[in-house]
Amino acid sequence: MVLTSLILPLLVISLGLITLKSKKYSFLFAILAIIITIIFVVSYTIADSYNNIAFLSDFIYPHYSMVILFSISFILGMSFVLAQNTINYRELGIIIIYFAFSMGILFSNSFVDLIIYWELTSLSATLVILQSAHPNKKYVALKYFVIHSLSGVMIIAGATDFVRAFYTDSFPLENSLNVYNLGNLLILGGILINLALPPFSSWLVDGYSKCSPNASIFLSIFTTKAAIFILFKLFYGSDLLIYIGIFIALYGLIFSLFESSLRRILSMAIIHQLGIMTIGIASLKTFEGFFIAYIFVDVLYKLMAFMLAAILIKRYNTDNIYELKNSINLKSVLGIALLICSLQAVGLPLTGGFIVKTYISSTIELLNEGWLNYVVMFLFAGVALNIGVKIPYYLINFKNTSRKIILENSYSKNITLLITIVLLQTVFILNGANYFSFDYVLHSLEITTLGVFLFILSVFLINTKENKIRVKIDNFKDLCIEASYYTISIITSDKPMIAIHRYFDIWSQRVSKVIKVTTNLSMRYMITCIMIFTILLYLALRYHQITW
Amino acid sequence: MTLSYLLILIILIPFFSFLTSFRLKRYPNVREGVNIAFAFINFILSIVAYNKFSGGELASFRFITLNQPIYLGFYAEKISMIFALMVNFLWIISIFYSMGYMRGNKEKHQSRFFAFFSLSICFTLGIAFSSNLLTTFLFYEALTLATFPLVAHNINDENRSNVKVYLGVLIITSLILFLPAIIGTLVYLGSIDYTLGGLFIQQESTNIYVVLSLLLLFIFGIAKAGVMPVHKWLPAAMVAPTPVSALLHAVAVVKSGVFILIKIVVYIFGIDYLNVILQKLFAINWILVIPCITIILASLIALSQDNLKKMLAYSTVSQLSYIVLGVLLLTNAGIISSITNILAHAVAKITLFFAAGAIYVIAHKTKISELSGIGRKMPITMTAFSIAALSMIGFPLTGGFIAKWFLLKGIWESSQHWVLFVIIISTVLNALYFLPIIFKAFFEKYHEDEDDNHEGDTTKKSLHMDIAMIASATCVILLYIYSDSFIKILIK
Repeated sequence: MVLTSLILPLLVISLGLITLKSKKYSFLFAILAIIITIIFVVSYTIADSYNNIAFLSDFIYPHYSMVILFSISFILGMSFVLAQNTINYRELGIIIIYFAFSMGILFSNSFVDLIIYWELTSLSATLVILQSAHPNKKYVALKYFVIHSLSGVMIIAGATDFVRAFYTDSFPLENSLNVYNLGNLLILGGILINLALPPFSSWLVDGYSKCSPNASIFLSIFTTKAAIFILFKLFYGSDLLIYIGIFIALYGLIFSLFESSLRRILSMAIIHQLGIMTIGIASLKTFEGFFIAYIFVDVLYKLMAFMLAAILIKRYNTDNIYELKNSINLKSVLGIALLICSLQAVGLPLTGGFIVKTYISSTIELLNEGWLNYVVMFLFAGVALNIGVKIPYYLINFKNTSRKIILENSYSKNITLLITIVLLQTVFILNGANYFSFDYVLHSLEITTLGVFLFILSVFLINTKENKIRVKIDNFKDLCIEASYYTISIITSDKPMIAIHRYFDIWSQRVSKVIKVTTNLSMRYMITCIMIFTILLYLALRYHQITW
Repeated sequence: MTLSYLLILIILIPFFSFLTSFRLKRYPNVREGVNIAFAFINFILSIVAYNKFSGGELASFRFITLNQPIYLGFYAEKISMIFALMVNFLWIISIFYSMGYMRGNKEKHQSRFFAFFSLSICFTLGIAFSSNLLTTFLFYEALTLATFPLVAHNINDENRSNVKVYLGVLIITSLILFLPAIIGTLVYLGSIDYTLGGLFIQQESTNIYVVLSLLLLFIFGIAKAGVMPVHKWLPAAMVAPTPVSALLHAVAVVKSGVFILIKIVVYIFGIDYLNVILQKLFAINWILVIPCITIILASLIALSQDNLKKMLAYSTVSQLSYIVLGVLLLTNAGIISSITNILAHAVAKITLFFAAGAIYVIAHKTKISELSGIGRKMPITMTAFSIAALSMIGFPLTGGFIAKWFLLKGIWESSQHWVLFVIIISTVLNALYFLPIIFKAFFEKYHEDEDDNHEGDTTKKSLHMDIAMIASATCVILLYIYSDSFIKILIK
């Protein structure tokens, strides 16, 4: 009932935006969508009056905090987009639908509701991607939808077992689901595909980097964060998730090193963060509200990073961070926003990122698995490496000496960025006292140093400018696509023998090509691996001497 | 009027329509008007019959009794009541569509077309209400013959071989496999009546291998159910005009095939009995491999097709095996999924074929690769196509979702867990071959043909077809919304 009061008006508005041709009315409609969301937030807060103290200070009620987080990021994103001169209103209409359906995922209390909103969210996101001007958009959208339909059918398959066993489809309230059961494992798999579990992660990276810059702001928020909320709700405390989380995070970290496009780096950073969140969920023994604070900080600084990316792509018409070098002035709103964003990612003291990072690492320490602490520290250093060091290092022009701070030409752009910064800081201001201790500060400084060290290492060892790695990955991808294509053609052709001959010819050619490329690169890989191993060894020794 | 006479009337009305169609050859408007009137009356009668039946009234009717087990007879039973309702409803829609298609395409022999259209509906309803295997068999053969003039409507030297394949596969399999299976049942059990709980349960000592071979004979003998390798007739029948393809692939022929299979498994073998027999033989139900292979292979073949109608045909083969799979799971949820799938697939596939036909009549395009930007030109057609395609994938808020839900539930109940992965893979394949068409239609630029001289009266031509497509696409969604009502009846 609460949900329909939001979804129905938003559906009407988006229909209006898609069909209307007049710019004036479209703008008013879009403003109306923001107003409706604000009204929804306010009335929702008043209706659940005992919840409203919980927001930001305690995050006691995870569901409430998550709804507020989604609404706030939607309002921020909309106000940012509406500040542009040229807006694609059709795209904006579909984005509104996408937001409305992803709110549905948060509100769903049963598997049937979940599946309905899950699939509708993926369909609307596919339509958002299809609105872009990228030449490969159809391929990307198809990949997005097909992988999500796989996730959807896996959840349906698991949910039917749940219904058969318990004669109800509503979520279990008392405890989380047992992972070691085929049905629940299928549900988990479906959710993890939405969390970009490799090898099903390409939908995220391709989708978020090939849609229009404005759309990527919204896409980066809702799908994965709604999925992580459902994972949290259903599977908190499952030890299997530790290993899966490490796998996801390492994948995101390693492949972000080989990317040179700004939005692809950010997408890989999202995957990396999702992995860390998955480890966090595994370490929680209860449905604990403060975990939402971690998602809150992550969503807001990623939102800001994608806004900056949108501004830069529009201004310079390129996505490559080497071409965008020194493009942001340090003493401008953009510069400050990027700096705050990176400080949040690093988790230096006096930021919201510091609080949530220490919270997660302290819950993981409670698991009493010594090795996990080092791994998590290494993963946090990876976050520091990507958004914390790499992006500001390339983008910010540190040599500027003028005293004035340069503002953006649009008023609402400035305001949006500032509000995001303030919201990020509130997490620190309201909770700082609980988590501020010398040990934690030391820990965060250590992570930062490690991140900087890793960054220097990666710059020396992996030359992304030449894009050699991409060549190799593309070769491999082509190989897989061709292999599947020829397999299908053998099955379906009238003359299978001829098809088989052709298949082996092309296969052998491709393999020899890939082997050539790999031998050139393998030395570099070896050196990188040895260096990383040394760092890990250092960490291990360090931790045996001092424990805190 | 009692229910028994009502059943006879429902079967006979399409036959009257068959006769009048020839009489009114010179007045096409009157002919089609009468046709629609008959279809409408029949639909209302079947609603009345359905209400009477759910009110608890029983009906059976038998005539031409040779000796005790061998006779022609009809009776009312819940699966057949739902089936008859569906057939009659889709009959109305497809007549409406055929009007637009046949006139728009300026086809010859329209009276013959409408006459045999009605006749096949008549025989389908005969199959629906038949009370023993012999009656079913006779109507099955009659349906093959009645659809022959429809398939061979545009016969020429190029497609003659296809028509031969259509007739050959259907007739030969029914005579070599289906008929011996019926005779075998008669000899073995002494009866071929459909009975609640199954006939075999009455037999005290049964040979497991006889039961198994009879089951296999039925599965492959009813070629209309489209299990590989006897599916060949289905793509071959694509030479027919599109309304016929819609009738064959959505309503009459394929659905009567799987309907017969459901009735045989439920009322001849009996679910509980087959379960016991198969568990004695093997832990994994190997019979499920037959539909599973068909599901995956047909989807793969559909993926490689460029001809839209051929692609839809292979998609039908794949979807029919969902229904066969649901039956062979031998659980309650499996049977419910099969019946739901009959309805959901019928409505969705008829919409898809209507769309394919409309594209052919208005834009003169038959290949998927030529469909760029067609959605901008024919928004109603392609929207209906998209809704139906989503139903095929099993997207929520469509009838396909309900069917898939119960199918998966049936798989869990039968504890054949490996089948889950077949369904998951096939869902992905379905998405892979339907989605590119929708993307192509809506998100690419339209290429004008040089020989495209039919611009002028496109709206006028497509009116009948648009109404038919809107009606059937709405049904796809209504099926989801009102799914509770018929599932309740089935669970009873």
